[in-house]
Amino acid sequence: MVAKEYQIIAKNYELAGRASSDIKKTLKNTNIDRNLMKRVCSASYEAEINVVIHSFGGFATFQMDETKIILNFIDDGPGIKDIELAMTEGYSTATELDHSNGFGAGMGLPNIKRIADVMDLRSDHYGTHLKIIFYLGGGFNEGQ
Amino acid sequence: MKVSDLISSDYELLTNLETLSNTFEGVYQTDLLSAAIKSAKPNQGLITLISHVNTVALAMMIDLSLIIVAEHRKVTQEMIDKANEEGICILSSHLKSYEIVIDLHKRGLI
Repeated sequence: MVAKEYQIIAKNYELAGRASSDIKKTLKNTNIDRNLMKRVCSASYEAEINVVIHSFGGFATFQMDETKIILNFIDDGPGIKDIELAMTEGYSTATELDHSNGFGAGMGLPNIKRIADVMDLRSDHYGTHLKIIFYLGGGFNEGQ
Repeated sequence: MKVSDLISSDYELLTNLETLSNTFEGVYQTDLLSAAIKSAKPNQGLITLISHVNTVALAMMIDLSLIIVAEHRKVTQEMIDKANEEGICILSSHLKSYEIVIDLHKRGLI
């Protein structure tokens, strides 16, 4: 069992990706499938960027055991007003600054849903909790 | 294909000389980093206008070996340092993104 926790700072584009980068380094030291590693890293990066762009700040956790990898992204708000809309590809509330940094295309959450085995998104005005699970033995989404 | 095969007067190497020996197989062009996450394949080159340390972070995350920054967009030293650290090659070009794609295609590189 490996467990790690990372702080994510709002609006800090320079440090954005630091948690995902460390997760990738951790996974590189294991023997997990390369395709699965790419899926985990992609989902983690998208989720981390979301916290940087949209939240007041938060944290991420990474847990890995023999059967699965669980990523949690938890922030302090302001929350997602309409989750269904946020899950629609192309919909985004990102700013001009986010766009100039290559983000805010409205593809993050749909990307994560596509590549994760399980994605659970809960949000209210106190904050958002995104849980992403990947199964090591080949989950139902393995073909992606 | 090695990055050194691609170099011409239209491209300037910004990272260490060693990164010229990076290999790449095809390219993906976008200015949306999420689009790259969705569609770029490992070991491809990324042609983009997004010149930011995040571009390198993304390349590292999805195993891209080469970033070609189009239209001579300013590349910060921080971005270059990060790319050197990760062994990712950055080239800068005065060409527009689509012109780079055409150029690489014409020269049989993609």
